[in-house]
Amino acid sequence: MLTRSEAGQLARQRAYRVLLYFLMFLGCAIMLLPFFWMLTTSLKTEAQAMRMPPMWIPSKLHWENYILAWNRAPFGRYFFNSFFVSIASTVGEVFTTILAAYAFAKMRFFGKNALFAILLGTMMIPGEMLLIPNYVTLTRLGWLDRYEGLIIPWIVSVFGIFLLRQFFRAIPDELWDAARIDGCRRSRFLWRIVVPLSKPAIFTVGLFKFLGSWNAYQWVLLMTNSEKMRTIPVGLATFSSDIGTAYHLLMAASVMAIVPILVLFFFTQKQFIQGIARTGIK
Amino acid sequence: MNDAARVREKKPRRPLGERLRELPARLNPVASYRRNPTLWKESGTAYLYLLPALAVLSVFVFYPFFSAFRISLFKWGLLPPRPYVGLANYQYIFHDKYFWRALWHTLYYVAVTVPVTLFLAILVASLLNKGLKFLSFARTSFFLSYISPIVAIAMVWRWMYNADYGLINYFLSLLDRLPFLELNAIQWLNDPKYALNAVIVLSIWHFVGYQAIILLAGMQNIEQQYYDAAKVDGASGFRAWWHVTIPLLTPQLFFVFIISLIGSFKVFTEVNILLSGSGPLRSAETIVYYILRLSGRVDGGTQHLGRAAAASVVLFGIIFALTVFQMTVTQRKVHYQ
Amino acid sequence: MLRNVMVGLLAVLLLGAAAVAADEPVTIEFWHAMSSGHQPNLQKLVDDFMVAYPHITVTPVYQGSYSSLQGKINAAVAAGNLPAIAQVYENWITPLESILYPIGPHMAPGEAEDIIDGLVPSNTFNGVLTTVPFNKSIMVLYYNADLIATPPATWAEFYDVAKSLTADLDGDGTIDRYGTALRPAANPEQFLTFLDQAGGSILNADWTEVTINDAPGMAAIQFCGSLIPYTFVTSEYISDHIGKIAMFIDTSAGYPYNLTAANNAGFQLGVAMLPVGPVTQGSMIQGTNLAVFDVPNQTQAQKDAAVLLARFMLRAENTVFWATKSGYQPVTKSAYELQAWKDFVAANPYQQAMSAQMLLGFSQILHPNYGDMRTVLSTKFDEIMRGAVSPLDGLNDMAAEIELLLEE
Repeated sequence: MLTRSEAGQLARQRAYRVLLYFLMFLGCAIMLLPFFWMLTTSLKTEAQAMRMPPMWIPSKLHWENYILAWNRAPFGRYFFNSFFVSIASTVGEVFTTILAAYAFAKMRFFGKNALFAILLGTMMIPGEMLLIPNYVTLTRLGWLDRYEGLIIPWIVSVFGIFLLRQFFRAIPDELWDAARIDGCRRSRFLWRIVVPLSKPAIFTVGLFKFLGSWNAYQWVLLMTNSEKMRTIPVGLATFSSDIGTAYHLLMAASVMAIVPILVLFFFTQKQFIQGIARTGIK
Repeated sequence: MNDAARVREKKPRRPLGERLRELPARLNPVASYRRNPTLWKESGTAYLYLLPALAVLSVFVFYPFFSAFRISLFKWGLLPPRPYVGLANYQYIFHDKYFWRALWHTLYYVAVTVPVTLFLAILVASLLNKGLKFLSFARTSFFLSYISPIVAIAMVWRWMYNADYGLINYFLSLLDRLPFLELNAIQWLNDPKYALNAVIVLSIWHFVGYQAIILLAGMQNIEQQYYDAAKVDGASGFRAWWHVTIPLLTPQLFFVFIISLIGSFKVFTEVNILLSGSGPLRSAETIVYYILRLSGRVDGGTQHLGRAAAASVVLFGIIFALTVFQMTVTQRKVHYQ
Repeated sequence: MLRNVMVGLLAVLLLGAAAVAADEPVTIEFWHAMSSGHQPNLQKLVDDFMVAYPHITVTPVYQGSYSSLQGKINAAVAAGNLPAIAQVYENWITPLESILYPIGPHMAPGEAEDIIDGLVPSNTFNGVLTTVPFNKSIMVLYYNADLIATPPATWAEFYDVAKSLTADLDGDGTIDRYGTALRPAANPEQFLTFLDQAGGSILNADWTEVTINDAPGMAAIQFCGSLIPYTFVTSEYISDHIGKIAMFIDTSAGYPYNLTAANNAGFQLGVAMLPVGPVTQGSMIQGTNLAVFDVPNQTQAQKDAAVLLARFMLRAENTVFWATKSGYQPVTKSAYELQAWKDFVAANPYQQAMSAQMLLGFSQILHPNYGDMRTVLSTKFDEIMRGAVSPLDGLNDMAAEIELLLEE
């Protein structure tokens, strides 16, 4: 039997939980609004898409928008390129990032703080300012309109180095001291001990990279000239002009572009969530 | 002393004399390196590790950055002649009232967006950390707000802000029925007083989910033993959150703070897409908008590449100074578990 | 005698070489910013061109929005790999004048003269027709035909209609319907149109003096100022608010969007010529031109091919095809005489006003600092229409700031 005060406490706790659930679902609803809008707009006519106030549920579902959108640009090729470029730059980035983040997190070297500040500094320059010199560089390297030009400049990410450094730092130094006494070389320690311990974190860095690469637009547009080298965001851009946008088709194409990311996130979110947090060692 | 208390405890300050004696070595690291040859060897290895990253960054970031710096000293045309003008481009910018306005708008945007987003993200992450059901669904929802195309986001918000049919003014009109309130419909996107704030709300909304996911992950990683220890001390609920969760979240908080500080200073797309320009009376023109205007990329302005480069250098300087300041201030407070 | 034979032989040889050269296959790139809705029509024109000139292969390359295309052209200037031909705005290429390959001198007699008068100055550098117009639109008057039976024909009528249709329909103290709307920050061309109609200009003919605040400019800005109480001044798209606006001046290219918005708002959209101003019935033309680049990476054959393509696009049947499919206006006078165009106008009555207005159009000046002048105009025009500064003070500010730009 519960005492009266215990019953009261239980009721309070239940009310508290109900409140929490309410807040959570309210938050989710607000967050999902644009996504929902994107889905329904992709099934509207052009006129319905422009209606103000908006029409949330179209009277008739225009699935043919997806076919129309798909045929507006060579999306088959674009999807292949997006996958190829995103995977390649992610793999490359993970490699360079592990090395650099390890150096910053666990090694003593000359000019470390200054170099880290400079690295962070590279994120502070408006990307637009770097485009023209980089175009000239790629021209000289002969990488214009080639996969090299889409991948190699992007296999380093300061964001990734910073994030991974935060994780690597949490790995106790005692581990390295012990390994060193056992005669373990540093590179072996990194790849055999640190990397497996930080797998989820590395995975996280990779996912952010994949996302960034998947959505890259300005760079791809500038550095390519032929349809066979371009990626999905270029296809999305063709639905807009200076006068207006074919929103119903743009949203259909956007849904198609987001689905792979969503699938990736859904099936890997456990890894991803842990990845951001795990410090490797408990 | 229990773990929770230990987390909060400040490192004891060493005597001033001792710290002063170290100062020459700190100012001149070569001295300490000279005394310790293994440090040189370790430096060599470290730079080997950094080589791939630095090589790519040198070609595609450092080099173009320095060329932007060089360009800022010239009256740089697309074609020669490109006369050297010294600091004239900087002079122009510092004498341009629209630069100062853009700087003010940007600082205002950063000062509101960064703390509010971070604060809300902590609340959201804490909520999602309560061990509720449907957590995967909630996480995916918040992630979706981050990956939804900005065009879709801007469309939805344009409707929410619409003065005649928008959701926000609808709620205001409901409040207006209360006897003690006098509210009028607000032209959110078309009133110089509100346009920048409208962008701020959109930005907060856009990034809160992304930040919350990073913070949530940090929270889920905090070991139960810390909470158990706190409980022994009689700390639960809010006090456990304040004395255990927040301190042990500092690596993630630090990371998110720096990243969003840098990102917010560069705000442009949100402004341009939501307001289709720089807003009424240029009231939401930010520094990056100003830079793109100088380079002729928005609103069909004349291309002044030297001035645009100079403005970029100034922006870089401002963010860099703030970040370094920020890092030195908070670095001591970050706890790596 | 021998010399004549030699000269004759040489001439034959040269002509032969030229003929051979003309048949030599040549490939050119055509950079453009046309969205995927327009691309099939552009491709059709290019295909027709390649049938007419079998030795030339044209690769149209989509380069994103206008802003992206501009960025790409700038980057290509720096890297030395410009295409043979590209779609360009006037103020992108004023800094590139020295590397433009003039098209005019390579035209057949009568071709250049066929271009609509209002489009010639903005394509003429130092007296030479250098670029040619491609996709052009014009400011026209859109109106709510359910409210306005006869669109206003003069400034005075425009004012009266705007005033009489501005109303607080539900009596809550705020205006629910505006006589007209302006988007001054994005569209200073609206003011420039009034300025032209009053007989004014930004600068004098040889660009040595600012004339914007002479009497015509004052008349134009005072007219705008008198409209303030009846004008919905916005920085958003007018079509987002079309339901509460009785009439507005906007580009002809926006017709499909304005039509959809009007349908959604439940009224009939009318299109008319602009009301006549004190001096003219002019209207500002906007849109891009085609430029051929004279750069080392383009061979003479490629430049020749590009010129042929530009001239091909100007042919009456092609500019008409492009106009009927894209919603832009034909750019040559003969196009308006073509039966295909007349049929199109007959089937689409709104085109009548646009066509008539186009023939009275004018374009922007080619001053190298026009971009900054436009920024001054849009900033000040916005301030004037929002009441931040009085019309005359604002106009004088404009003049003073443009004066400084002239000195630069």
